[in-house]
Amino acid sequence: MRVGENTTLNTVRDSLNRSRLKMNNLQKENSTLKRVNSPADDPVGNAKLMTIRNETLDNEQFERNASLAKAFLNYSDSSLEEITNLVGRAKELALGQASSAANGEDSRAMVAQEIRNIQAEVNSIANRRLGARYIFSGYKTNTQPFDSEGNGTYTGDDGKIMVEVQKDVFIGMNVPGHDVFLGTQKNDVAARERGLAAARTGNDPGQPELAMKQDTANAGEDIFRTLESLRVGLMTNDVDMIRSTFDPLDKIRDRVITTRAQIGARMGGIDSALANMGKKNVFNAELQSGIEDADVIQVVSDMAREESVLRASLQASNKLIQPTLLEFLR
Amino acid sequence: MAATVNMFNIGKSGLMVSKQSMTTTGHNIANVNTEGYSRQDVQQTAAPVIPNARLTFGNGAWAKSVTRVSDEYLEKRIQGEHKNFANAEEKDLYLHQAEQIFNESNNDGLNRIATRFFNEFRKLSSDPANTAIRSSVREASGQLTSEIRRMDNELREVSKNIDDRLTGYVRELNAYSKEIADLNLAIDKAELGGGSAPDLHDKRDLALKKLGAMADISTSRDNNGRVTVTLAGQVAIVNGESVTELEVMRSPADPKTGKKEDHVDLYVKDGREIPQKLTQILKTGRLGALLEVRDKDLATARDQINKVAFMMAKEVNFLHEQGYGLDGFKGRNFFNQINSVENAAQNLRMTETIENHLEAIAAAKEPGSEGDNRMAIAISGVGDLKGTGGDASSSILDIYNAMVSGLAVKTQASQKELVFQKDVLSQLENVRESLVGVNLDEETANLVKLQHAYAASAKVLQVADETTQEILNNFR
Repeated sequence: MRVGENTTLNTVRDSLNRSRLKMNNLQKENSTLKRVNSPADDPVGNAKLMTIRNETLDNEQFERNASLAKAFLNYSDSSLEEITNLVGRAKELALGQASSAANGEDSRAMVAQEIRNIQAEVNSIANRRLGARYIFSGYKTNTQPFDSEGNGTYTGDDGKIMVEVQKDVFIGMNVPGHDVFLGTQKNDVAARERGLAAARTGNDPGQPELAMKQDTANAGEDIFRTLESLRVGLMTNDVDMIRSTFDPLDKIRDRVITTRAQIGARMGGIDSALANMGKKNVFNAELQSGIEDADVIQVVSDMAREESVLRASLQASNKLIQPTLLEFLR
Repeated sequence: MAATVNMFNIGKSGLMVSKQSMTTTGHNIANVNTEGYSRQDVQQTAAPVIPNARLTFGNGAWAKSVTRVSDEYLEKRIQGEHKNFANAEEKDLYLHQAEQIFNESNNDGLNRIATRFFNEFRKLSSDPANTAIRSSVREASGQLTSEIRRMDNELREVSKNIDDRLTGYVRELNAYSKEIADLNLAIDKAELGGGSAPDLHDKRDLALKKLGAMADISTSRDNNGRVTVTLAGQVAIVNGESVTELEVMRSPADPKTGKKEDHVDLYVKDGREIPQKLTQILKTGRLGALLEVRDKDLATARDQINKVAFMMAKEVNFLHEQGYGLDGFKGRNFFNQINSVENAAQNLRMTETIENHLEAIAAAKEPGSEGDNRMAIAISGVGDLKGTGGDASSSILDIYNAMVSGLAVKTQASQKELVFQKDVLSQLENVRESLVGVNLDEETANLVKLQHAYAASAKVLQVADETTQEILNNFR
């Protein structure tokens, strides 16, 4: 076969071009340490990468949500722990004052003062805030849930603030105050307030017991009212009234403990969501790296190889281009 | 005596033929780098002889013609592959540009920005009354809308570039048609007297190759050897010495073909009242590639972006409208109402209310509860909502991701195609070079050979001269 002048030159040019193109691509891989530098480098891998990146971004937000929810729940839990202790203390005091023989009017009045303190403390715990937000007021996080006087008038709502802590996994980060403090649903609040008003009139030495008894059936587990009726009982030296608070106090304690158990379960849920996400993140990072990261050793050795190819073709072209017949005809 | 006189003639013919051959060799050497040049040969034969009664002597040599070495079949194949190569080249150029717009590899594209937008609502759900979070929701949606607009604008820009390039190529195509018609005439004239015009043939072949790279053409020759060029099997753009020019006209937006703006269409007048539109029938070559990228790939990409914008506005608004802002009002849109998919990407903006009043962002499902985050949660889920992406199992972002993947597949295919076509073409070019290309060694060797022949012919003249002198001197 004849070999034209341009055949040689084209061959040299093509092979040099090819080498340089490969070098260029390898150089790009080497400098970014990425195999996939544009979607077209690996369309299928790129589709997967886009999903993985979304998941990673989502997970970052879920983790932030989870840590916020945990802070909320932790604070609620420790507050309720204090409530448990306070209710226990109140029960202890009530038991001590329940036998008419052992204690006199004076000592009951003193204990009533202590109950007063417990009431104040319960009220301040029920109105606790995390940052700017009341933790026991449902959705109405800017509204103080219970009135400052300790009447237990609930102005929050029954909103359970759900946060997404893992894709499609929602966990309630709050405990609406009326559930745990009043033992009522929101729609019972009105009835409860009526009952409380009646109890209040119990301060009037006329008919405290009657007023109390009217409402015991449906509002006996209201912490504010129970403590108030314990205090009224102590003040009025009414042993029966004191005794009538035993059962509600136990129930309140049980309820608070049950609520804390629920909170614990939710925190467990958050932890397992975090653990799941952690695993998923590691898995995704591996997958992502497998798809887009360049194999450094491979790249470097490829570059070395390609460089020697380039050198060889440069040398070959040196030999090919130089001599023509003319040089030998001189 | 006749023999001696004849020797002068023979010597002269030898000198002439050698010189003509040397000229041709020189011409070959000079054109070693001329694109499309085919090596030429002098066809040399023994001069015609007048038969004599008893002894017949030769009459020397004679250059019959100068011919070029060529292979029409090979030229046609090269023309075809050149067209495929040009097609791949244009596609690769513009698909690569389009792909860059989406910027998905450095993790900075719409995918990330949209995900961030929905995550801002997720963040809002964790603290709905927080003004700082509300303003970052607003900031993220501003970024989302401007990113969608940017992509749409840049896709449009690429379409416009393609329009410009189409216009330029049509001008080139017309110039080649003209050149071919002119060469048809020139060759016809040159060969009228039975002569040959190898250089003109080379030029015409080259022009045909370049014309063929533009679009699908077929060629035939008429009785006079003139080339007729037919475009896409329908329009004779070169017929002997006459040319039918293609024209470029701007067409208005056409919803039927999915073209949003005015765009360039190709027409041919061809003596008709109404110009015939060629845009749909050009499938190959540079023009075919440009039209395909513009009318299929870029149009699809823009459609999908518009769809994303439309669905985004529709689904987010649907929820947002039912929610309550911090100010206790409901019934407000988050994005401006968008009524049609067309131009949705350009129209996607936050409403002025949202832009100016952070408290108008609706995170709550019921009024008066600052901590109510139900609507924020609902909106944060819009990105993954199934059934919003055209079928039951895909979401809004799936529309976009599928589009990017589709484009990536095409870009990758065009890259591979380009490499492949380049190889095929350079192999064929090598075959052509080996057949018709100039080899300097060969030409140099020829030159030496011809130089010797020239010297020998000169010697013949010298001998003829000396013998004649001999006689003349004897008779003095």
